[in-house]
Amino acid sequence: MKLLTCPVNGTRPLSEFVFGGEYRVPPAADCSDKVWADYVHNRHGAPGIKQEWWYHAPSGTWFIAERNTLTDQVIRTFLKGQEGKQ
Amino acid sequence: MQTEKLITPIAHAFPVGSVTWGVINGMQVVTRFVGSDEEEARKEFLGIADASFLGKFGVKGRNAAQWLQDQGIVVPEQPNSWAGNADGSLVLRLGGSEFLIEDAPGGNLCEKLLKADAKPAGVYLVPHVEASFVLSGNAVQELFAEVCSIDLTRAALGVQEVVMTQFAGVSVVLMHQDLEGEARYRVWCDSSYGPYLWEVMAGIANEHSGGPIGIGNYFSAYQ
Repeated sequence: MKLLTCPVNGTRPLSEFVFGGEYRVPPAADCSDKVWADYVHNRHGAPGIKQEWWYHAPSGTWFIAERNTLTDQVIRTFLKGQEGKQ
Repeated sequence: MQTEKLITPIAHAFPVGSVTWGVINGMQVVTRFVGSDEEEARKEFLGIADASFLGKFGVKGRNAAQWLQDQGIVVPEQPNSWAGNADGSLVLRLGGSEFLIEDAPGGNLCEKLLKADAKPAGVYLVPHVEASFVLSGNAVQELFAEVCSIDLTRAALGVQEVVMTQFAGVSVVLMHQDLEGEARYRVWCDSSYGPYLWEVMAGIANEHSGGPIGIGNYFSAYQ
């Protein structure tokens, strides 16, 4: 059984979670069309350490997991805005 | 067409004809499933009862905790923990700033809170119509092991902990409480999943010589 640790509710089976896509920081509002189109349409698919949105369904908690998508190893999980508290 | 009275969200899971119906707190519920002696025996092994009729009140927001304290409500300090008020009502802190309050048997705290003065900024009402269960008995941990992946023994739970997890694929809120001299578990789930979860848990209870029992076995106010 795969496990994931919710920063609020603790370690739970993966079946309690929903993947929410890669966590990406949008470019500035006054960026060029090219930069904006790149943000909207393109994804960086190469494996490596990425930050992803995950959702703990029973409690309705969204959080960020830092995961190596090559080895599937989760490095840490945290609530948005609480990166430094880990 | 509206029905005259509310009916328990678990109603579709109950057998027709062979049980005794009654009205508690304005809701039609099954008050007895089998004879009182047999219900007592079921409770010893693994009893499950429907408590969906108890009034519920929800509130969330950055000022929710303060507003509840202003209303004289005991507020649990830690996220995912619960506290009991002097009147027997329960206050569950769901995460950081959301609260679920459930009336004590025969109580009307939730109605008072609903009618309380206008809520200030940062306090938002959350409607709650969950299906609600009471579980107890010698084999209750066997039931949990069948429907849930995490350790829900009393030692693992801690004293005042609230757990949000899944039972048989359904999201639930769970807590443990010692009440009227016995250990009980309380479970809440979305009302639309109520009949399914009841059927699953009651089926497992039957395998352990337990089964559905009337709520009067748990709350003396309804005997």
